[in-house]
Parts: sequence; structure tokens; C-alpha cells
Amino acid sequence: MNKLLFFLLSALVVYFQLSVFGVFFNAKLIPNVVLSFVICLVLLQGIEKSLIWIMLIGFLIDIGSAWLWGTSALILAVTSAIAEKINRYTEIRSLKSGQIFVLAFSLLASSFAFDFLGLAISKIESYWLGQNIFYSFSFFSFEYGAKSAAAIMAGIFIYYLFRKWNVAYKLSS
Amino acid sequence: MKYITKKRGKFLAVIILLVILIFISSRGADNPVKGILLGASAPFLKTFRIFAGGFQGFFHFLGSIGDLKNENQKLMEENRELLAENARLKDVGKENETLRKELGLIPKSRYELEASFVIAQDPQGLGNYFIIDKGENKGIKEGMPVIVSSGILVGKITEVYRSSAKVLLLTDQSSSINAEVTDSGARGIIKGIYGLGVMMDMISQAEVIKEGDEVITSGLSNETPRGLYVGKVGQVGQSGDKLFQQADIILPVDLSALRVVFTIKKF
Repeated sequence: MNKLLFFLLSALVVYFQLSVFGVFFNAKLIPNVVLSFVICLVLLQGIEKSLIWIMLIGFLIDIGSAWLWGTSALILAVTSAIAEKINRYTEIRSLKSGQIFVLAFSLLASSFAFDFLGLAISKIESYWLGQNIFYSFSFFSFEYGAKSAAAIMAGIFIYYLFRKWNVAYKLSS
Repeated sequence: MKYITKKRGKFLAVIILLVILIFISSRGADNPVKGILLGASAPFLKTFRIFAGGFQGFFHFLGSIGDLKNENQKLMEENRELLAENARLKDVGKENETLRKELGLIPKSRYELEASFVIAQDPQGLGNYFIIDKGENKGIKEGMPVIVSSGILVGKITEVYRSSAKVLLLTDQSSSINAEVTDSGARGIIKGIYGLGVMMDMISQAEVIKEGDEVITSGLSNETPRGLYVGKVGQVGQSGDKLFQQADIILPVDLSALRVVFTIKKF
């Protein structure tokens, strides 16, 4: 998979997130597949090599976002750094099931981190920059649990797909 | 300075760059870029949305085959009832025309409408706004009200690009629309409750409102015409300072399931 193909794949995932998922899911149940996609890439090839993709995907998602231009990229970058740290400290390479658990944990933590950062940034943007953006949800609700579970499952699928396609190697070559 | 490695330096540079970009965006500089990218993406978003809608309809159809016989019988009964209702409504129609004139309501057919597809929704999944496939090129302007076919208000235009526009839904916290209860004539402001629902606020204590009363736009602002249907009054309560009454509003449509909407360009 070359870089152009990967860019097209990223754009496809973003377009699905923006348009298709809304048809099948209630607005509050839409899983953040873009986040799972980015986190899987970061876990496979490291944040340094993924930064350019994080920025590109963040800019694309901001097309349909209420946030200011660049906010999604910023949140994705910080979330990715957190996910990489978690993964480094908790990695269990020997057990396949352990690896899935670590991956699921990294994705769940990323999901929390993403939404928490989104909440914090939207508050900063609202108060300091005079923008009227409101971002609020309950972390402890059925909708949030279902949304996170779907994002984790999507993430596990994407991770194994990336590994099968050897994305990390092909993007760096 | 060993703490700042090459990797950390690169990461920090990106973060600083993005913060600067956000600051520039806050001054409105991002609108042309967003407009161009949204314009380029709109055909894809629209195609994806239409195909997804088709798929969903097909699966829904497959799932409902078993119920078709019962549904058919129910529809035939409903049809008979509707024939009788239709005859009655013809008479009511004339009465309605007279009343609309008296109340100063504009007949719905006189609105200049622009039909649009919903092509994208809030990527954060909060469901407080969506993007439509018509923009400046079709005469859409900021502040224009957005309705569904039967004259039910769903939101208003907040951002306009060349071939797309952003619609802020009634449920958004920043949304506020002047409204009136049809039975009592009580006036108030329709506000979103943290994206979860809608309430009518600032209703005078002197007014009598009850559950089930219907709420329409009052047309006090120049942006929204009078007479657009908003919903029904739910639970009635008091504002925090007890100066006004507040009422939950039950919306007649599921705002997250909209596919086609109409923007009122002229009224």
C-alpha cells in the first residue's frame, strides 16, 4: 500500500464517519472510527512517523466539525501520544489474547482522552476565543459505553487489517 | 536540554503549529479553506449518504416482509378513515385560510424553499448540527430557517459555504428562537438543552400553559416567519429564579434521522 492509497483510505474513513454512520446509528451512538484508525496507525508505526497522517486526517475531519480548524488534529495528536505511552507501558507481546486486551485498553483510554480533550478545548475556545461551541456528554451512560465498545471493536479489526497489509512498513518505504 | 529529543521536538513543533493554526482560525481565516474542502468533499459525502440510505432502506424492507400482510390490512383501514377525514378537512381548509389571514400567518405555499440533502452530521456524534448540500450558490444565507416538508422547524443556517451550509439544530444550547403557544398566545424563547432536547423559556407567570399545547414560531425576529410548527408542550415548571415559567417541548421529528430538509429563503 503506497502513500496515495493510504491517503484515499483515510479520506474514505473520514467520509464514512461524517456521512454514512449517521444513517445507521443514532447521533449519540456513532463510534469514533477515525480515532481508532489513527490510534492503530500510531501503535504500529509510532507517533513520529504518524504525525503527518494525524494532521491530514484531523484537517479532513474538521471539514464537518464545529471546532476551529486544526482542533481535531491537535486532539488526535495529543490522544495518540497518550495511547503510545499506555501501549509502551502495558505491552504484552507473548500472549495473543493479552495483546488484544492491551489494544482494547489503549483504544478505550484513547476514546476517553479524545472526548475529555474535546471537552476541555471546546471550553477554552468558547471562553477565550469567543466561539459558541458546546461539547458535552455523560461518560457514564449507555450511549457512551456502546459507542466506545463499537469503536474498540472497529479498532481491533483495523489493527489486524493494518498488520496484514503491513501498513507500517509500506508507509515508511 | 536532553529532555527534548528529536522525536519530542517534532511533536512539540506540531502541537505549537496547530495551536497557532487554531488561533488564526478563530479570526475567521479558516472559512475559505473549510469552504473549498467542503465543496470538494460534498459530492462524495452526498453519494455515500444516498447509498447508505438505500442500503438501510433495503435492510429495513427485508426485516419488515413478515409484517407486510398485517400492515396492508391496517393501511386499508386507515385509507377508509382518511377518505372520511379528507372530506372533513376540505371544509376545515377554507376555515384555516380565513384564520391565517386574520392571524397574519403566511400560507406555507408562499415560502420560497430550497430543498437540500443532509450530507454530513456532527463527527463528534453530538447531533447538534448537520451539513446540507446547498450553499451560497443557491442563495442560502446565514440565519435562514430550516424546516422539514410539513412546515416543522428544525434549525437555522449558521455557516454558509459556496455549495454547502451548516444547520444548527434546535437542540443546540446556543440556539434560541421566539415562539408562541397557540392556545393561550403565551410567548417565550425556544432553547436547546445541552443537545438533549428543547425547552420554552421566559414564559410570563401570568400565562396559562398546559401539557399538550402546540407551539409555533412567533415571527418576532425578522429571520423566522410566524407559524412554523415547533412541537408540543411537555412538562411545565418554573425558572430557577421563579420569575418565568419554563416548559419542555416535545419535538415531532427525530432530528438525527433527517435526510431531506428545506431552507426558507423568502417569506
